[in-house]
This record gives sequence, C-alpha cells and structure tokens, in this order.
Amino acid sequence: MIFSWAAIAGIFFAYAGFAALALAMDRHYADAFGRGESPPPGVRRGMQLAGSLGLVLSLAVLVTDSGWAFGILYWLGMLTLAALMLALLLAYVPRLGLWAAAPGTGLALLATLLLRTST
Amino acid sequence: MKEGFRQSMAWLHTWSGLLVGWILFAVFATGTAAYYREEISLWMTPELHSLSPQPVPPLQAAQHGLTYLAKRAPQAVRWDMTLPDPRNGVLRLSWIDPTPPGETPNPRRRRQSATLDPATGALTAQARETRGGDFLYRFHFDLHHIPVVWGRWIVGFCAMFMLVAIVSGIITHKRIFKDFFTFRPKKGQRSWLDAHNASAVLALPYHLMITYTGLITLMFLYMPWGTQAVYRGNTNAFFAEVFPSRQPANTARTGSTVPFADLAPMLAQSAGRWDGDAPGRITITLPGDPTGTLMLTRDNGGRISSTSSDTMTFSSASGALLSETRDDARAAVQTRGVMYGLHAATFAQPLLRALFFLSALAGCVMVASGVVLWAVKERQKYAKVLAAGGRVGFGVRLVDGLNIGAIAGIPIAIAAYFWGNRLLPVPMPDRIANEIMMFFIGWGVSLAAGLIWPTRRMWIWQMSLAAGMWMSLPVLNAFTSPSHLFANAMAGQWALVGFDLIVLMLGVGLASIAWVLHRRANKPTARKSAAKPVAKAMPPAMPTATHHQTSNPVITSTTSEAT
Repeated sequence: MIFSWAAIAGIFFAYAGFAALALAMDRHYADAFGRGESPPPGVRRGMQLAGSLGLVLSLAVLVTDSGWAFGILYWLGMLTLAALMLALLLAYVPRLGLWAAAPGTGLALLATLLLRTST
Repeated sequence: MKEGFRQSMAWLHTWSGLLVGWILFAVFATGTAAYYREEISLWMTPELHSLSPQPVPPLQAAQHGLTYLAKRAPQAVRWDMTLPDPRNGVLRLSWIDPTPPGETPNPRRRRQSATLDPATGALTAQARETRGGDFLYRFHFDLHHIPVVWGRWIVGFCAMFMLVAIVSGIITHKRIFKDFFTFRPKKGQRSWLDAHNASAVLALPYHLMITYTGLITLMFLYMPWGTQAVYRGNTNAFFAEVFPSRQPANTARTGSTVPFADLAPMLAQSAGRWDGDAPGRITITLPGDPTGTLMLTRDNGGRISSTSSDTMTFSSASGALLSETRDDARAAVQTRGVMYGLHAATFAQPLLRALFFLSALAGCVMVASGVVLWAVKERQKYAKVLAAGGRVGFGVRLVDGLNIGAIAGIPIAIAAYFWGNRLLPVPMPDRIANEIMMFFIGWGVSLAAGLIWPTRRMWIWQMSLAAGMWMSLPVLNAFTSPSHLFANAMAGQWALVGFDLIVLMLGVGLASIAWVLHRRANKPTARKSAAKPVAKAMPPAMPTATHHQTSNPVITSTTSEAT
C-alpha cells in the first residue's frame, strides 16, 4: 500500500481531526477568527468531539484495511505526519492550515466511499 | 525534598539528555538512514543501476542460481542463495568451499560470493567494493574503530539515558496538550523549545518504541545472566534452542554424486504451506550428494515479527520433504521477535517505511534541538558578561563545539561517505576502508573546527557546507552513474529516484537552517541601531547584546520590525 484509498482516508481523517481539536484551543481559534477570540463553550465541546471522531475514523479505516497489527502502526505514523503538517501550517499560514480540514474531510469521506466500493 | 518533583525531573531531563546527546544524534541519524539501507547500497553501486527493476519469479531466479553454483562450486560444503525481493533486485549467492585436508575448518574464511542478474543468470558487472548502507546500519549500534562489544555497550548506555530523558521529559513538559500544535518561529529560545517539544510529542509513540526496542535487540548482550544461569555458559545451546533454524548441518560427503531433484514442486509445496509466500533464502548443504538437503526459508517480508523462521527442508536428491519448522515460537521468543521487527521495520511496505523515516527524522530534530537548547539557555546566564565584551564560560563553548560537531558534523560525514563512494578510484586497494575513512574525515574536520571556533559563523558555514554536499548528490549521481534522476524516473527505478529526492529534501532542510541562522546573525547590528534609545532606558542587565533573543519584549518588537 503506497497510495491506497485507505491511506488517503486515514491521513485526511487524522488531519481534519487534529484541526478540529486545534480549533477547540484558544490560541488556534484566535488564529482563525481573530485576535482575542475564544471558542464559545458549545463550539469548544463540539470541536473536541468532532476532532476525536476524526482520529477514531482514521483508526477505523486503517484497521479495517490492514488488520489490527499494521493498522495501528499506520495510524500512529499518520497521526505523527498529520500533526506535524498541521503544526507547520499553523506556524506560517494558520488560516489555510485550519480551513484545509474542510476539503480534507471531504477527501477522506470520498476515499472511504471508494474504498468500500472497490472491495 | 526541597525541590518539587517536576523540578527534579527537569534537572534529570536536562542532564540525561545532554550527556549522551551527541552520540545519540549520531546513532539516530545513521539509524534513520538505515531504514533505506538497501536503497543506499544500490545507489552506492552504480554498476548495478542498469539492472531491470522488474521482479523475477523466484523459481526462475533460483534455477539460475543452481546452474551457476553447480558449475562454479560443485564441491562446496554449502550453498546459500538470497532471492531478489522488491527492495533488492539481485540474486546473491555465497558458498563455503571445502576445507583442504590438514587445516582447521574456518567457514568464515572459506566463504565466497557472487551476484547474479536474476533475469538472465549472468554475473552482474563487477560492482565497486563498498559497504553501502550496511556501514550506516552497523555504525548505528556498533560505532566503528572500537571493538564491537564496546560500541554496543556505549550505544546501549546512551539508549538507556534516552529512555530516562523521554520519560522525565514528558513529566517536565507541563503544557504538553496546550502546546500540542505550537511552533512559534523566529522567537529565539522559544522557537527552539517549541521545535524540541513538537518533534518529541508528535512522534512520541515512535520515540518510546524505538528506544525501548533498541535496547531489546541487544538484550542478550546487556542482560546475559538468565541465559548464563540456565545454560551454564553454553550460549550456543541456548541459541540453538531459541532459533532452531540456525543449527549447523552435517558436512561429511558420502562420495557419490546424484542430480538435483526438480525445484518447482518444492516451491509449489512451500507456497501451499506459507499462504503463497515465496522463500527468501535457499540453503543447500552437500550439493550433489545423496544425503544433501535443500532448505527453504520463508520470506518474512510481510510480517512484523522477525523471528519468523518457517523453514521446509527437502532431500536435494529425491525432492522429498524431510522436515519442517513452523513459526510457532513460544511467547517470549515471539515477543522478542516483534520488538526486533518493530525496531528494524523490515516488514514495512513503502508507505509505512516512509512514515517510520519521518518519525525518525523528528527524532533527530528532537535530539538536535535539545542539545542546542541547553547552549541557548546557558548562554543567557552570561548576558552580563557578554554585554561587557567578555566571553562565555568553557562549558558553553565546549557544548557549542560538540553541538556543531554532531549536528552539522554527522550530515557532513554521511555526505562525505556518499561523495567518497563516487569519487574514490574504483580499483583502489582497501576501497571499503577508504570510503569509511571519508566519513570520519568529514566528521573529524567538522568537530575539530567546531571545537576551535564554536561561533555562530561556524554554524552557518558548516550548515551551508552540509546543505551543499547533500543537495549536489543528485548532480554527482548524474555524472558518476550510467543514469540520472529524470531518466531513472522514466525507467521506473524508484529506489534511485527516491534516494535523489530524499537527499535533495534533506539538503534543502539544512540550507534553510543555515539561512535562518544567517538572517538572525545579521540582525544584531540592525537591532543595535534600532533599539539604541530603548536600550539606554533599560537596566544594563537586560540582554540587548546576547546572541540569542530572549522573551524580552523590546527585542521581540524589534524582531518583528526587522523581518
């Protein structure tokens, strides 16, 4: 597996999940919505849930595709890759880094769909 | 206890990390390279670049091997064939010539080897002598120029400290979740700390895994007492029991000769038993003898545990299955196999290998930023002295020098090794030793220069040198191999393309560090003029003249002006 649908779904679910978790934090919420802004409690909770869901979906796709042993290895590697990408983007182009999660989620869902139909 | 738990952990983290940091960086960097050991070896033997990357069926490759060996070494005690796999396109043969009467048997000295093109069965062009990626792999746990056992003890000692540093680092890092995605560039010490935290936290599962499993791979060396107690010093008996497939075979010939049984049914039988997996290795004892055997060892490429020693042994004369060992190892052996396998990642398909490589690079950044951070912090204690035109203490200068010698020195050394591989004359005597010498010359010069002039200018200079050496490797390859990056991409030689792209990327990374350092080095002058009126109004102890910026608000504001 080098560029499989599972890999694409895994990486983008992880990225979107981390971006949502970042939006639940004051510093990165302010990155997106302007200085001094902080997320309302409901948004914060929602983002935390959505973020966790993203990470779980990433794990689910990878484990379904490669089994538990390899699935977890892929997952941990992709969590690292996704988080590093997000941290770098947040440092230089924070808005882009956060908004990229939206098309990222779309891509992940599409890849999951293609994965389901191809197997 | 006067200090809090966290403070004492911070102390432990600082010192356990610093003391072994330089060796750890060397171990981490060469270990990172070792993930692509086969690809590096291929790159370092340009004579083999023209082999087709198309996979060859194992049966065809094995038959070519048997034909060659039957002609070349009919009297050998034993033949070994390593079949090509996706990462290694050649068929490697080796054999042990019989011991002449009157000499003591020494299989190691009588071992011969050859490399065939698996598609045609022809000998490959005589490749230059090189250790290739194996040198970097061995260096990362044996070091070099010192006895192997010492090297392993030193590396193990450093790995143990690393484990301590990781655990104490997690405890010290209060804002582990708050700063999870935080990297603030251009903020001096803050940036170093962010880089250290991010590279550590984001790849934390990898760092813990690799350090712990690294210790496990050498556990028979570090903790031999259990074995010694049970087997009363007879380590051979111990290894024979744990790893049954490594047992030596009988070496006495009967004298008569019989032809080989057909290989195809044996391979079909093994494929049936091994879920379609091909053998990775074929070992033939007493070839041509009626008592000869042919052992297939399963290619464990696709599995995490590296104990996998599924073997099937056939009679080479009749083709009948004689015995079979299954990988039904007991839990302890299996556990060690998984640990070992995880560490070496021999199972990893391209994507997973790339992810491991990335995490390992994060590990290099973590170690490097950690030791730099120590120097940056320590230097601030000398702010007053520096402001008065004095020098920093010996300790800081020593650490600065060692930092240069490790963080710039190791990349320079590895690049020098690659350059030596291509520029040293091919027929040179002792070529392997000379290539390795290039590694140590590069490292030694960098370290000596760093210790003599541990200045920022030296950092910039050495980082630029390293960047130049890495970035020009694809150009070097184009001139000293039959092909170049674009032609390799067209021909589907992805291992070579990958090598070029990765060294290019690492070179760009080194160059950007050099660039950032250069820009910051030019700033003090700009800062001095801009900050002059403010500086007068400030107490003299404020570090306006430090080389590194602090969280001082005046300086941060001039930073944003200057950039």
